[in-house]
Amino acid sequence: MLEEDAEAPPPVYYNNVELGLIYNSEDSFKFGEYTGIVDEGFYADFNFNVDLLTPYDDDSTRYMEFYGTDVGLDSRSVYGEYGQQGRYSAYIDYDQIPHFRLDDARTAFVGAGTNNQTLPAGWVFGDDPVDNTTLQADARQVDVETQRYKAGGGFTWIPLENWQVRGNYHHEIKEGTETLGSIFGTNGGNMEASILIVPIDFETNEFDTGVAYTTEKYQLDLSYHFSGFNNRDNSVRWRNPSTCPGFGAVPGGCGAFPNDPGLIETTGPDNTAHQVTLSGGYNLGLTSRLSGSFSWGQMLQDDNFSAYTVNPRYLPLATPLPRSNLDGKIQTIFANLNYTVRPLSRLSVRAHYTYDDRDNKSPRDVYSRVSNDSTPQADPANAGSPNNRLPLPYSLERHHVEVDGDYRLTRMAKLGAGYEFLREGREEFSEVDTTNEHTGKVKLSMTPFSMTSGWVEYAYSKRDGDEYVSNQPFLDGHPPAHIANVGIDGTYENNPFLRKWYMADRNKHEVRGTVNYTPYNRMSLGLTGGYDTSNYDNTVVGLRDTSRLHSTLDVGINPTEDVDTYAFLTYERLTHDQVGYDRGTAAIVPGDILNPDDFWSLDAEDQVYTLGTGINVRNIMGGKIDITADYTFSFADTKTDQDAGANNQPVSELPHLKTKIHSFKITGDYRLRGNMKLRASYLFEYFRTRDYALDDVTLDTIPDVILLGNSSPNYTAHVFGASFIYEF
Amino acid sequence: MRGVTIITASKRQLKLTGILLLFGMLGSTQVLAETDAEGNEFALKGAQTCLKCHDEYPTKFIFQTPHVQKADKRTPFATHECETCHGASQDHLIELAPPQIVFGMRSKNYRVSGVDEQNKVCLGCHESGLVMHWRGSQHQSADVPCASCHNVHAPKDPVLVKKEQAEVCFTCHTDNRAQLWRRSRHPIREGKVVCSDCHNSHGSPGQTLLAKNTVNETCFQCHAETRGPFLWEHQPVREDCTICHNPHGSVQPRMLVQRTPFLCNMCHAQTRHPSDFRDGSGLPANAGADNRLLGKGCLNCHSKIHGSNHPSGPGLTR
Repeated sequence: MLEEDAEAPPPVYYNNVELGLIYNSEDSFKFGEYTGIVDEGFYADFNFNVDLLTPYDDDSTRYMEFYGTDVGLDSRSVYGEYGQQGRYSAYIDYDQIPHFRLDDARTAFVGAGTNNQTLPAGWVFGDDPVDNTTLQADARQVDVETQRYKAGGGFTWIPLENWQVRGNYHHEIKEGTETLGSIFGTNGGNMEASILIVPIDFETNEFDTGVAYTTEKYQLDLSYHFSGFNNRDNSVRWRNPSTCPGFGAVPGGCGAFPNDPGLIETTGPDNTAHQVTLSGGYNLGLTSRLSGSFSWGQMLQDDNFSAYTVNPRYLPLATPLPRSNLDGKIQTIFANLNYTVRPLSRLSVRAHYTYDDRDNKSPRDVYSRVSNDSTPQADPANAGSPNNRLPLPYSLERHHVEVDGDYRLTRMAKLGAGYEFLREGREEFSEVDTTNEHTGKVKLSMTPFSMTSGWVEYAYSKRDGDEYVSNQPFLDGHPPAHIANVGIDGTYENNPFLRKWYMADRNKHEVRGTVNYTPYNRMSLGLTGGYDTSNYDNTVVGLRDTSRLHSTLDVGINPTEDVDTYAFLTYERLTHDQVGYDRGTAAIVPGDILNPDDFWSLDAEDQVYTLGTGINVRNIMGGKIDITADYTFSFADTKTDQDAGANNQPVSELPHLKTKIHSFKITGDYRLRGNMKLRASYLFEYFRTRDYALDDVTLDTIPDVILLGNSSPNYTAHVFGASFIYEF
Repeated sequence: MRGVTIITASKRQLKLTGILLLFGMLGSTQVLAETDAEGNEFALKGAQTCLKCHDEYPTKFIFQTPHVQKADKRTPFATHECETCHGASQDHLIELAPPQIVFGMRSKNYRVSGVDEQNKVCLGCHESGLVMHWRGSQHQSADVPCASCHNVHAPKDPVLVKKEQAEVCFTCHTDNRAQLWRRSRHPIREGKVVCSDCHNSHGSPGQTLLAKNTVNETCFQCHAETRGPFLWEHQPVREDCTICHNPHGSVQPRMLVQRTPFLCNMCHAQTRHPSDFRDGSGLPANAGADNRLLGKGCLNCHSKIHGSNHPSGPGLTR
C-alpha cells in the first residue's frame, strides 16, 4: 500500500511554550505605551499555546484550548476554553491593557493623582496662578498612566439540534491617572486653570446572553446586553492656587480667594445600559434573502449630583439643586431590514432600510450654577441671571435607505450603481431641524486578464438642511427671563454666519479604486487609492472644505517556496480649510455686514508617508533556521497656512507639526532539535515628534493656566530578546 | 506527541502513481463510489486520499481544526470530509482536473471558483450569528470570498488570532495599515485592540460594518465613561464620536481629526476667545503665550468635553 512506501513524515506540533528575556535600553512611556516596556531593563517573555483535541475520528469531540500572550508584560492576555464540540463550551479569559501616557509631567499639587489635592506649604499666591514664585521648585514629576484589568468568561450550549444558548460576563477595572484641566475663577473673561493629575478608578460590568435558532432556511437570534459603569473616584477636591484680584465686583476681586476649595468631576458619572436585540434572516429561495434586526435599549444615569459648589464662602446657597440626580434616560430604537435578490443570473439587487432613533428623555430643570467655584449664585429674585441654565438633552433620529445593484456585463466586467438617502432629524435644541442627504454612486469592476483585476467607484452626495437658526441652542438653554433681559440680539452665542459642519449643507465627491496585477504566481502588485472632497459652500464662517487623498503601492514577491518578501508605500493627504471671524467683544447678529478686515482663514494639511518592507526566509541550513525582518518608516508633516484681514496682519506662521518613526525588527529561530527552538530578536525604534503646543512650554509659560510642562515624546529604543521555545 | 500522523511521500510523481494504482485496485473489486446530485463521484477514501498530495502547510494541519470532528454531525468531516466543501472531485484525483470548488482569490494551478459559488459552501452552515447579515453587506457586494480572509485549514486561522488579524484586513485596507503608525492610535499593533472589536466584517445592520448598531455604541464598549447621559451634553459627542476622532490613528493628539483650538473653531465662533485669530505669534518662540494654542488648547479649561454632570458645568468646565 501507499502508506508503506511513504517516507517517515515530519512530526507535526500544534502546541508550544516560549520562555525568555527581553532587554529594553530606553526609559520611555511612549515606546512602551501599550506594552508596559517603559523602563530600561529586563522583562520576562512568556507565551504559550496549547490545543488539546480528541482525534478527528473519535466518538467524542472534547477539546481544551489554552493560550497566553505577553504573559510577562503589563499587556498580558490569558485564555482557556473547554468544551465538547457540537454540545457545549465554556471559557475564561483575562486581559490587561496598559496605557502609559506621560513620564515627564510635573505638578506642584500635593496629593497629585488622588481625589484631594492641596497646595504645598509656603505656596506664594500670585495674581495669576503661574505668578507663584515657587511653582517650579515645588513641582515634581508624576507618572500619568492607566491600566485596564479585564476578567470574565462565558458559555455556549446546544441543548437541541438547531438551538444555541450563550452567555458572557466580564468585569473590568481601569485604574491609574489622567490629566484634567480644572478651573477656578476668571480673569477678564479668561478662566484661571490648572492641569491636574487626577485619579482614574473605573469599574465596568458587562453581561450578555442570547438564544439562537438556526436552520438552513431561516435563522433567529434573541439577545440581551447589559453594561454597568461605576466611577469609583468621580471627583477631585483641590485648592485655588492664585489670588486673582482686581476683576469683577465680587469680594476678593474675581471671587476666587486664595486656597479656596473647589471640586471637579473626573471623566463620567455612573451609568448603565440595557439593550435587547432580535435578529433574523430568511432565505426566500436560492438567490434571495430577507434579513433584519430590531434593537431596543436604554441608557440610564442617576448618579448623585455634586453640590453647585464646595466653596464654603458661598454657602449656604439660596437656590438648592432642582433634583438630587439627573435621572437621565436615553431610549434607543434601531431597526434594520435588508433584502437581497438576484432576479437575473447577471443581476444582483440589494435594498436596505435603517431606522435609528436616540431619544433623550432626560428631564430639564433650571440650574442656578456657581460659576467656577468663584462667583455667587444668582439671586433667586433674578430669574434673568445668566447663571440660570437649562440643559439640552439632544436627540437624533435617522432614516437611511439604500438601494444598489450590479449587472455582469461580460465574464470580465461588472457594472454597479446605487442610491442612498439619509434623513437626520434633530428637532429640538439644534440649529437645524432636519437634513436630507442624497447619494448616487457607480462602480465598474473588471478582470480583463486572469492576472489582472480592479475596480473603480465614484459617488456624489448632496446634503441640504432646513433653515439654520443660530441662536436656537441659546434660546432653549436659558430661561425666558434671561432671554428677555438680553434681547434677541443677545442670544447669538455663535456667529450667525457660522455653520456647524456636521449639519451644514454639503456637496461631496468621492472616487476610489484598486488594481491588482499578478504577473506570475510568485509576484503580486497592487495599487489602491481614493480621493474625496467635501465642500460646505453655504458656510461663511466655519469649516469650508475638507479632502482626503490616499494611495498605496504594494509589492509581494516570494522567489522560492521558503522566501517571502513585501514592500509598500502609502501616501495620505488630509486637508481642512476653515474660515473664522475675529469679532473682538461685540457680538454679531443676523443682518450685520461683516468687515473683510476681521476675517481669517486656516488651511491645514497633513501629509503622511509610510514605507514598509520585509523578508521572511525559512528552512535555512536544512530547516534549522528561519529569519524574519521588517522595517517601517513613517513621516507625518502638518502644515498650517493662515491668512487674515488687515486687523490681524502681519500673520506669523505656525511651525509644522512633525512625527518621524523608524522601526526595524529582526527575528531568528534556530531549531536545536525536533521540537526545541531558540529565538533571538532585535528591535530598533526611533521616534521623534515636534508639537508647538508642548515644545518649549513649561509649567508657567502661559498666563492663567498652570501646565504640566510635558514635551513632545521622543525616544530611541534598542530591544533585545532571547527565548527558548518548546513544541509538543 | 499528540495529534495526527500525516502520510506523505517525497516525490509527487510517486504519489500520483500510487493513487492511480490504488484506484485501479479498487476499481477491480467493483467498489461503487458515492455521487453528488449532479452525478460527480466522491473519492473513496476521503481526506486520506487528498492528503497524499496536499501535505503542505497549512492543509495538513486541518486535523487540528473544528471542521474535522466526525462525531460532530454538523462538520464537513461527518460526511464527505474534504469533498463536503470542495465538492465531489474524483476527477481531480484521476485526471488532475480542478476540484468542484476551488477556494480563494487565486490558485496556483486552477482558476478559482466564482465568489458566490465559494461562499455558498460556507453559508450552508454559517449564515447565523455574526454572519446573519452577510448577504447585502459591503464585503459581499464587493465579491469578497470567505477564503480570502479565513484559512480553514490552519490550526489557528490568522484572522482569529488577535496579533495577526489586522494583517489579514490590511491586505485590502492598506490605508488603515499606514494609520497604525501615526503618533496617536489604538493599540492594534500590539494586538490589544483588533479590527473585529469595532467591525463585523461579515455584515452589520449598522454603517461601515460596525460591530454594534452605531458608532457610539461601538465606542461605548470600551469607553463607557463617555456614555452618559450627561446633564450637560455636547451635541457632536452625543451624535457621533467620529465627528472629532479618527479611531484608526491620527497625527494629532488623542486621535483628533484636527487639533484644538481649530477643531473647536469649526463650530464655535462669536465674540472674544472662540473667534480670536491665533497664529505663530502666540508661541514662546515668538515671545507669545497663547493659552488656547498651548498645552491642551481649549481643553485647558473646557476639559469635560464629552459632557458634564456637574450642576455648575454648562460650559463643560467642571
